[in-house]
Amino acid sequence: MVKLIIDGKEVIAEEGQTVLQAAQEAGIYIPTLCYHHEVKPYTACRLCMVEVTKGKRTRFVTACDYPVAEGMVVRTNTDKIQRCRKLIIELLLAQCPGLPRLQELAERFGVEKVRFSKGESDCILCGLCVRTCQEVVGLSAIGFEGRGFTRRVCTPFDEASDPCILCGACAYVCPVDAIPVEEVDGYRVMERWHKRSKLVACSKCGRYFMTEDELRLLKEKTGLPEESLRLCMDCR
Amino acid sequence: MRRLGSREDLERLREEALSKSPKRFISLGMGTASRAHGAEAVYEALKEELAKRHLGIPVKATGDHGLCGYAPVMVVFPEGILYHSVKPADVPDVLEAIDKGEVLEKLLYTDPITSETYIYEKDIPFYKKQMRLVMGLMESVEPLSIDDYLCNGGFSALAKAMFDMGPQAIIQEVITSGLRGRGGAGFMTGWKWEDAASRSSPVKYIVCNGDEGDPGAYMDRCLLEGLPFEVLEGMIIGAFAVGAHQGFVYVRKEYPLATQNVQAAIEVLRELGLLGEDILGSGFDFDIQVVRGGGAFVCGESSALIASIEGRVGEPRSKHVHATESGLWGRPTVLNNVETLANVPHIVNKGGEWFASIGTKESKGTKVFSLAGDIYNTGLVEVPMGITLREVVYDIGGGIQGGKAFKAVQTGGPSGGCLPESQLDLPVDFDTLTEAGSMMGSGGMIVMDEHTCMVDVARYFVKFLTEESCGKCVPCREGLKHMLEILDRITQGEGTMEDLELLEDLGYVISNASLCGLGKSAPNPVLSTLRYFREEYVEHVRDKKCRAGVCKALVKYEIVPENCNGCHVCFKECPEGAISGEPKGVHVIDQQKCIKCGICRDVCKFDAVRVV
Ligand SMILES: Cc1cc2nc3c(=O)[nH]c(=O)nc-3n(C[C@H](O)[C@H](O)[C@H](O)COP(=O)(O)O)c2cc1C
Ligand code: SF4
Ligand code: SF4
Repeated sequence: MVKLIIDGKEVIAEEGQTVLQAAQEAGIYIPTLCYHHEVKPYTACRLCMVEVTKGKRTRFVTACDYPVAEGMVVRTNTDKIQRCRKLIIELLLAQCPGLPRLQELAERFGVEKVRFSKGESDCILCGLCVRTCQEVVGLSAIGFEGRGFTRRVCTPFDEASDPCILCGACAYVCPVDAIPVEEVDGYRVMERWHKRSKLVACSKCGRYFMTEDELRLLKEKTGLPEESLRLCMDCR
Repeated sequence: MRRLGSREDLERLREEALSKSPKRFISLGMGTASRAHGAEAVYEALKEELAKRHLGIPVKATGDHGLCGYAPVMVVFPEGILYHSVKPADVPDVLEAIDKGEVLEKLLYTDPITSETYIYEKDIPFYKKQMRLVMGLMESVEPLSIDDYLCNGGFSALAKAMFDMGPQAIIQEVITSGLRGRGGAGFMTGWKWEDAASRSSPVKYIVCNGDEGDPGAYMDRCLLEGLPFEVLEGMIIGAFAVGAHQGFVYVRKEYPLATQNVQAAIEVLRELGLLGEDILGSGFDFDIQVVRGGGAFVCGESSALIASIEGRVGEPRSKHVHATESGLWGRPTVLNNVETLANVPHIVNKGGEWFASIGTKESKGTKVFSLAGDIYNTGLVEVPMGITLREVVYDIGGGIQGGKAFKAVQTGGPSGGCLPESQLDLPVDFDTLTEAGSMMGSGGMIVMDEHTCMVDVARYFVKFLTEESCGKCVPCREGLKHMLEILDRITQGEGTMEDLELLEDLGYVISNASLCGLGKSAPNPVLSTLRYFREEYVEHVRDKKCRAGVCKALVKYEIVPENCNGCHVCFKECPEGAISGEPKGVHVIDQQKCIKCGICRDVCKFDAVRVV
């Protein structure tokens, strides 16, 4: 157990926890966009930056991956932090003007107007989809392409990605709901990844509950007979 | 080649080499910079002519000598007579002169300002104020000649380090020397080594960073090409000090000659037993592998470089944990720049105290700069830390070409800052340059004359950095994009005073909140020009004027009738046929046709073309 101070409040955290985790447990809000507890910290959105003082040295660090230490003093709302946060939100709003999630953040942190030219993207490039697919699902069906502001998330060669099973995990973690998943005419469709897969109905209750690609992968991974896999969770 | 089993074997080989070593030889710079100026043809001509004349003078094809603007450069030893801009056709005359013990006047260096001619390399102002330490052996050692290197004290530092000192003493010596990393960040090398040495992991690595992504800098290339043994010796000493048994030299793929020479040098050292198992019978095992870099600027950043060697995407990561704790494949890793490592043998040989006696309080030793821009002498210069910018620009660089006025010097590569005349007396060291709003960086140094527009310069560098940003983090990716848009706007004459504030706001956030050093330093060109040349921004915005005549949207070329004597040269040279006028009569520019290329101003000898 380590004791630290966040915004004047004494906080007890576990060894190995990050400043963000400690703050969250203590009910102190630090904004994040590219962080999700299921995947490794990525430190790309820079919204969670805080000032950390250890001994004589004060550093400006990302809370999502900075480990707590005994006696550390953390400040989450200095002028410097506010100035950076606000501009980052403004930059994201310029990049993706239509996203409600960003508008909420703008309101919360007092970003009144966007002084930059506006783009028309709907993806903030937080990489959560890419990292979830790789780290949680284990497939790497999508990835980043390009560098600088031409960077984007896509499937290899912008074609239907072979490994993608349309599990929808990427859509689930996307903080700005930029990955629609639709089910039409017995197919699950994910336009963003140019992919569709036939839905599998539960052999008992008849409800669609997974895609054929998911079934194929499950069969490979578990080695179980197909009949048992064709039953939905409720009917198993 | 025989394997050296002990320090005594090494010394015996050195004795042999010394007994064969010629006093008279010709050293011809043959690095990439010299080859671009035709050094290879001169080399062939030399070989041929020497054979024809039965002159037994060896030619050493060495790395670039430094005076690259005058390449091919050759120096005749032992006298040290320097000939520059040598062409194959000059070779017979050169050899004739050597044979007769004479000097060939026409190829001697003449100072462009004082018109003084110099015979000896050491007297030429370009060299006089330099202190060539890591580059010191460049002219007397052929890159792959172990004999040359041994004759000049090669590997005596390694033997001393391994047999007289031991890891702790080496690290202490490097700490005493005050050596700071030459790759940009200026971190204390000794501390880095000490931290890595303190880790108990049985597997550790040492990596030499030869990515050199800064487009203007080429000192690391020059060292890898010309003195690979020196860099490798530094690396072996480092490995021994921290307990690493595997090393990597990361060379960018645009450097074929450097890659080739380092690879070949490694093979020579393996054959000699200076790499591999039980080096010199010390019981220490170490080997080095060459890795070719992908070419992106950001790949030179330490965490991106490590990712790249591991075969992952070369993208920066958060660095709360130092590589010396967990680097390559999670093992303690020392990452050092090429030039940093090249300093190490000298520190071991001559001692940390000696090294620390050179330079300023916090910056010790020398630094190599690639001197470029609107000066007479361009090339690689190695100067003691603490020398003033003025000395580098005027004494070594020879001053501004064509009688124009100095405007700014940009140090530190693309993300360095631009310093004005008033800062020229600053001593060159890590902290002073940073305080002044620039940085040491990779050691790029570009001198700019009065015809340079500082807004345009800032725009140029920001454009480079915008394209090189990896795009991972928001401030750098999005912030630089908008910085560039704003700068474009200002140079087009469409900027507003609020734009200047926006630039400052962006600069503050990009430099404070970006993930890696690229973003953190990227605003320097903008912030430094806003600091020192703000009036030029204001002129662009408020008066719609570019005093340097660079921003085309803001300038008009005009002929001053009083100065025009009708020489008709501009009439002939204008690519658009935009100039009218009879010979001997006053000429006029048709503004509709003019594309503002500025050729007329360049060709007019009577100062009759004016930018307004
Ligand atoms: C964008 C970027 C590019 C860099 N490129 C290089 C490079 O080409 N060569 C280099 O030695 N260091 C480069 N560095 C610095 C390295 O991250 C690192 O600090 C250095 O290699 C450490 O060695 P040193 O302590 O000997 O300088 C770069 C840093 C950044 C942020
Ligand atoms: S600062 Fe720029 S180059 Fe560095 S990680 Fe961020 S986006 Fe990439
Ligand atoms: S600026 Fe170029 S196009 Fe215009 S008059 Fe001069 S030479 Fe001709």
